[in-house]
Amino acid sequence: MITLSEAVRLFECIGAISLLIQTIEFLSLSAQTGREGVWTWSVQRKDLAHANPVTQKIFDVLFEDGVLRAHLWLRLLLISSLFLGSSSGTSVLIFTSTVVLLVRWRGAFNGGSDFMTLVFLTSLMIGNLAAPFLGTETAWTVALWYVCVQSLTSYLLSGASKLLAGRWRDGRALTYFLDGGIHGPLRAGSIYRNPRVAIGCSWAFMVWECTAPLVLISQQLASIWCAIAVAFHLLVFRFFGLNRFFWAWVTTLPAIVYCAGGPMPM
Amino acid sequence: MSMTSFALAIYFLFVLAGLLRRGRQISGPWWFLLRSFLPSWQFYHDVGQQPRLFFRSQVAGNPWSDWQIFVPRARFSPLNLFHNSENNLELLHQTLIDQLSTDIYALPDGSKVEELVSYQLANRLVRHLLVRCDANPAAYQFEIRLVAPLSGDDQTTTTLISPVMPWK
Repeated sequence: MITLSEAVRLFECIGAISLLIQTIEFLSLSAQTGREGVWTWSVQRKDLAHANPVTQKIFDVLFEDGVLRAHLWLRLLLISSLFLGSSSGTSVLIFTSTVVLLVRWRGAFNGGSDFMTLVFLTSLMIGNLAAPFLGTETAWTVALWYVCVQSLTSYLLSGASKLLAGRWRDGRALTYFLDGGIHGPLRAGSIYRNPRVAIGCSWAFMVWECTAPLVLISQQLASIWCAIAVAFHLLVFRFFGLNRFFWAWVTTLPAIVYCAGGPMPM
Repeated sequence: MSMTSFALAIYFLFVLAGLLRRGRQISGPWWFLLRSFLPSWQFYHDVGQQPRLFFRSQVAGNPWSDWQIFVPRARFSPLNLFHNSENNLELLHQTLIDQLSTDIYALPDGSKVEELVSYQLANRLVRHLLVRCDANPAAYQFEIRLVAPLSGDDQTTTTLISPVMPWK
């Protein structure tokens, strides 16, 4: 059985890896946010046309090339400190930095992985900021439960929404999305073009996703389910190139295993 | 069953019911920029019409090139699990095209599409793609077309045709 301190350490370290990867990617895309890049701030700042002049000026300064680069390097340092353990200060600063970076990329850089990254950072803030009031153990239990419920909800709803779509139930959507993936299209002779294989894979994914809340019954069940989750996200990475999804969701797995059959905050 | 287990069961049933009965969407300029706080949960959930960017160019004194489609494509490398900036950028560019398509649909009467931030960014994307192709054109043009799913490329609806733009 995983202890609370082990779960928190694992959670912080995998989350730190996820954030490091994201930040290094942002640094390597600096040319894209520069004056000659597609995502130049001179165009994008019109998204803030509704904001007051002071707010606009603050973001103008924050998104100057040099300031943005310095921000990313400072962020790397803060994230690295998570390997030694998080604190109220680092969790609030990294959370704020993440929100600023999301504004720089028009609200989202990589869809769902941005949301799960915010969930991770919110959880770090809950664990650290609530500790003086609730006690360290209760605060971190609440924090891990918050992540656990958000993660399981994402799997459940993702599976259920597929289940409601006829083209997922008959397997055609799987082939369609695999063809459209960044590493697609599928080869002409790919086994995923076989309708029976496509139906089998589709139903396996849907059923597995929909069973997410049941993992709370026991830690053994949760461990097996989470091992399948790692394999599932590796497949998603293989076909759709979504490395950030892999790290953002794998970060939540220690919280799921800890919460399954473990103590509840109430 | 404890009270907490019961509350969890009710919660999961509630979110499932929310999937079936969707309320009105929250919108607004700040909500757009902070939309990552709101979960979508519907990843690859259904097959719908896909907005795609098409572009063409003209070298001075020559006829126009054929229309080219922008589809994010890349070779797979296991190392991309740890660093995948270029491929993530390609996916972001497709997200931009999706957003432009949504913005065109929501454009109020009398508004100009050229004033949309998503249009201006898409224009820069086309220029970026042409530079990447070593096109060296005198002029270029782009379109947004809705490509029907699970069908041939011929079943498309054009929702935006840009004017012919000089390269300068």
